[in-house]
Amino acid sequence: MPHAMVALQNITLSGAASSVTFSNIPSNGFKDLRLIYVVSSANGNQDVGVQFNGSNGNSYVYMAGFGSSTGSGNVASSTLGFVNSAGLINYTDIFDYASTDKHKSGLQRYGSSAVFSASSAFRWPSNDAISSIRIYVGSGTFAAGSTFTLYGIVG
Amino acid sequence: MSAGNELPQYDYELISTALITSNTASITFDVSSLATTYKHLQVRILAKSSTTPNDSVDLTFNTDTGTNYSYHAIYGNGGSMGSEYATNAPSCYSVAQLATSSDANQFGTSIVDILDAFSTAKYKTIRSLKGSQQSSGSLIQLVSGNWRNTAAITSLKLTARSSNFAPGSRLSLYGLKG
Repeated sequence: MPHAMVALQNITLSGAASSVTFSNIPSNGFKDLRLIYVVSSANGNQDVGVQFNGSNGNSYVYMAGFGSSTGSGNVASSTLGFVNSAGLINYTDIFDYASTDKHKSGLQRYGSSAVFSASSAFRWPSNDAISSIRIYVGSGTFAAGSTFTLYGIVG
Repeated sequence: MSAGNELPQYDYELISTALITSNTASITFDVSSLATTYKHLQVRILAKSSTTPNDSVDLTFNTDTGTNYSYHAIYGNGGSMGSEYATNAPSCYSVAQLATSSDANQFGTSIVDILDAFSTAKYKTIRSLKGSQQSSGSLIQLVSGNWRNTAAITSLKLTARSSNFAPGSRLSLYGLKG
């Protein structure tokens, strides 16, 4: 059987950058997407935002451990993560990304060394197929060496 | 910045997909022929309930509905976190999420891993991450469970607990080599 998960695009920053964008995401051949990024901030603690098709409409629910405390919250904004200078690793699964009859939803697992560990579920309230994904840092830049990989998953 | 497709591929293969076109109480995957090919199994689920409110999905193996399962979960609902568990249960509870029918076009998402599925020396262990962010509410939950049986898994059945899988739902089974 063919491999079910295929690397579509890989980006490694050779210099600091405020955002990266995966564009021209194929509209067929895959059901789901997995986005993995391993990043650090060049400017201390910052939120990470993810936009689908240039939209800021994501919302998400998270649960997290912060040192010895825990918490859960709803966030109605475009931010989907948090990065500090020590780094962040984030796995984001996006289901039925090319459908035109569903809001786009998915799951995340992410953490930043010695700061927090978290999971979240998110939804982008649009029936549009996702054709581009932009990952950006709220203020400042991602540091050189940060990596971003987008996979397609057949289903 | 560089871009390319040079990354190695995983030995991760699609085995079967169930696309739900009418209300369906349960889906069973026959995996009896897969023991020599794969080490682990994974099910990715995008699902909606046929009714209100939200519902969840229970998992059983090899048609065993005896009280041979355990379950433990931590969750966040956007306001607080909690945990729950069950021992000597008739299924692995709540491994996947069904969004309520009243939230149009909104679905729950879940990824269920079944580890060492074909071992004949171990009880079977599962984990899942599931959640939904809906107009009417939200949930994120991490689940672990086990089936106290050393038999190789030959089938797995995913059952909507109090409703049906609604049209538009999808359950995809994958095998991982190891």
